[in-house]
Amino acid sequence: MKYSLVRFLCGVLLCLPAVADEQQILRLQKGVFNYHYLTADFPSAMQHLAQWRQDDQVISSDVEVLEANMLLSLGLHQQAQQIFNSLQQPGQQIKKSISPTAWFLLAKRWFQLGDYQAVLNSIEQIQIPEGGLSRFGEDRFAETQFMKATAYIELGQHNLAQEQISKMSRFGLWTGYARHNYLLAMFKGNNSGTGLSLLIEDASFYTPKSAEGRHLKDRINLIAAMHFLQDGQYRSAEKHLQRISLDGPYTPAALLQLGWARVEQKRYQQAFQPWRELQLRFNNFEFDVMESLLAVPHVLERMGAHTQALKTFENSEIKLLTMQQTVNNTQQQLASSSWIDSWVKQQDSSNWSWQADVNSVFDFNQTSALLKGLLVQTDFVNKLAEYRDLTLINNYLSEKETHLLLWSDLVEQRKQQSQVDYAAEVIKRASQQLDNAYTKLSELQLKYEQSEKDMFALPNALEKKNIDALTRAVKSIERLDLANTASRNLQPYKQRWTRVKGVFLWHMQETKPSKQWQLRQQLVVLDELIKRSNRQLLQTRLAMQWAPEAWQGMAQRVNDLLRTTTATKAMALAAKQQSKQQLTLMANAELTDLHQRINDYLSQTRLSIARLYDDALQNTMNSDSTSANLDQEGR
Amino acid sequence: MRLIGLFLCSMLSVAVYGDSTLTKESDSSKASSKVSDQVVSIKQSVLDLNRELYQLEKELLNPATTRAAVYLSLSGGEFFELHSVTIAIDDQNPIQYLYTERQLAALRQGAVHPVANLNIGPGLHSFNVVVKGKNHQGLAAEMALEKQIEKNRQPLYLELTVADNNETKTAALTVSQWQ
Repeated sequence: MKYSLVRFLCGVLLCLPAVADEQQILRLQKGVFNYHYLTADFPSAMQHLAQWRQDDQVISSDVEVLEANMLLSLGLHQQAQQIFNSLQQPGQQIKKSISPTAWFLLAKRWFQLGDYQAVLNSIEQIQIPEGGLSRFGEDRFAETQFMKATAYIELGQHNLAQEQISKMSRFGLWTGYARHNYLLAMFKGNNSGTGLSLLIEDASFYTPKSAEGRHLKDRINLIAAMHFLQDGQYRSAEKHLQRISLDGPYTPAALLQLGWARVEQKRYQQAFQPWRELQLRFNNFEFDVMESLLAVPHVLERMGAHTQALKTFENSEIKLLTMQQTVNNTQQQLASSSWIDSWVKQQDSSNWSWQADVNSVFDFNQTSALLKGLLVQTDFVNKLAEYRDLTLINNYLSEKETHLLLWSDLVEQRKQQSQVDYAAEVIKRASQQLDNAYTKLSELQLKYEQSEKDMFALPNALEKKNIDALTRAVKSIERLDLANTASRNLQPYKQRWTRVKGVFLWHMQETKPSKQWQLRQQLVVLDELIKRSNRQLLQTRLAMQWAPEAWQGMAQRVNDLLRTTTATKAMALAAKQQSKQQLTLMANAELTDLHQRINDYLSQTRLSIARLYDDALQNTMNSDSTSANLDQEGR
Repeated sequence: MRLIGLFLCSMLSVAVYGDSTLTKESDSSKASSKVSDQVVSIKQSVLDLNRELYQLEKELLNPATTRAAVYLSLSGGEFFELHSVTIAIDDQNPIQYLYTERQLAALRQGAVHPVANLNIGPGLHSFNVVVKGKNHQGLAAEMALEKQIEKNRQPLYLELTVADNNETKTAALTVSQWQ
């Protein structure tokens, strides 16, 4: 029992560093995911997330919220919805650590999609810590309050909306938008009275002094004026219309309505002034300008100035005919779709979908001038963005297709190289070198073994020289001995040689153990080296044996991916064509509408001209018959 | 009488046009939602494909035996404003990276930047890092680090950390490694 406990503890202690390393690597991966998310590199962030999932790691709910946000930003609403549904299940505990920004972004997306209950749910989850407003952003906070107020208005909870607006900063832009939406709701509900007037005054007074604030003020005044016009309160309408600036987006509508408000009060002369201004300042294709082309002669007629009215109607007819011709010409050019491609080319951002900074302004030309009405429609702008996304996806897939083809080539090259040339040559050379090393090792081992028997074994360079000298001396003495000269005594030489040999032998014997030890060490090292080299060679042979199969697997994967890429590209191309076709159809329908509108105005103009001529003819006939009667009576 | 006839004709043409518009609109809205669905499905496919391509490229370029990933993180960031980092391993060409404001903001929020994915063989390697930026007084500052790192057959993770030291009011560059 004790033994197994010790074993368990040892095991745990051994595993601890590995677990700590895994934790650190996981922390790095989370940090990298956050980096990609915060720098809006969503595809990379999604890849990291997928890798976590592949490694069977637990994904926390805050990361899931971020994933849902990314899916939303990439235009994949349904997938995001699924994640949020799973997070909002009663059993699920959503962590408090989910950042307020994540919930804000989600609320914003729901707001764009018009799911107002989901907007309120998301906003409820935003919890800004004390002192954390500056980090969250004051403008973002104001936008959150605006979304909340608007969501209440859309859900018919007007009291809550009013309460929410009263909590907002008085001069804020978002407060202005909230008041504007609240006013619209009041108008739709047929509300009237002093309360409403005060609301209008409040909304138009408390707007910021910026350009956007001025435009908002104009818009509030315009919707108030339209409401009063419909209600028959022309003086109130005129008061609001006169407050609208002459250089804003609502100026044409304001000038036209101001004229009508004066006509309704029978101030005909004064009605001409805003319409003249309108026709001088703006393009004839503006709907308000078109209406004013007919309004002027209509009022002239009401004033009894029939001849002037007729002449003005005739001038309007000429203008309308020219406009009709322009629309026809532009409609014929629409089929080429060059206008969409030129718009796509002028986009700077390379991101997809929601996060993409899409510039919806077209180059200024005849087509864009005529399609101006379409370009403010959310549906058309979304379709344009969709077309742009598909163009980007197509470019991306084409690029990846080229990359995969290059990968395929590279994989093939590596495979051939490892199989045929390089690796085989290296292994051959290494094998030869290893054989040589084996031979040398055997020689050394032999020397070592012989060193035990040989007295002069393992000499160094000096010793070898001395051995050679001793050997040469022996030969010299032997030669002299053979000569056998009587006068020569060789004994002292022999004794001297014996003494030198004795001393040398003694010296050699003294250094022999250390030499043997050194050799033994060298032999051990060499043996180890040879064994390691042999192992490496073996592994290399194995790698070479297995490498072709590994590369074959890679080639298969590359080919599979290439096929998927090509199929996706074909789908994307087909969708792109359909999207382009739809955009062209929408533009065509817009121009047909415009054509029809011009046609209607033209018909009305012609009818008025015919009527005026008819009236004049009848008047002439009446006056002729009257004068004839008078003549007869006179006779 | 002729005028009434003209008026009726014009009204009729408007009515007929209006009907045809309605039919066209319903057809076009069906087609439009079909294309939108296709776009969503294509986007999903591209995301999946992108993920697989990323995996494949990683495996082709950085096999586990030779994979070494270098990361950079900030701790604090008050005493040193990071501008660039240069990393050199052995005699390989140095890797340089310049940081944008947005990237720095992400790092300050605790994100970790994957600076480089390298290929180095098992064994000992010399690792040199130079981090350039500004100190809290707005003066140009530079921190360097040189270390011997050992790589085994597992992927190597190196984390560079630029951390504030509140006592000395300076920042320090450290490196940690995991395999």
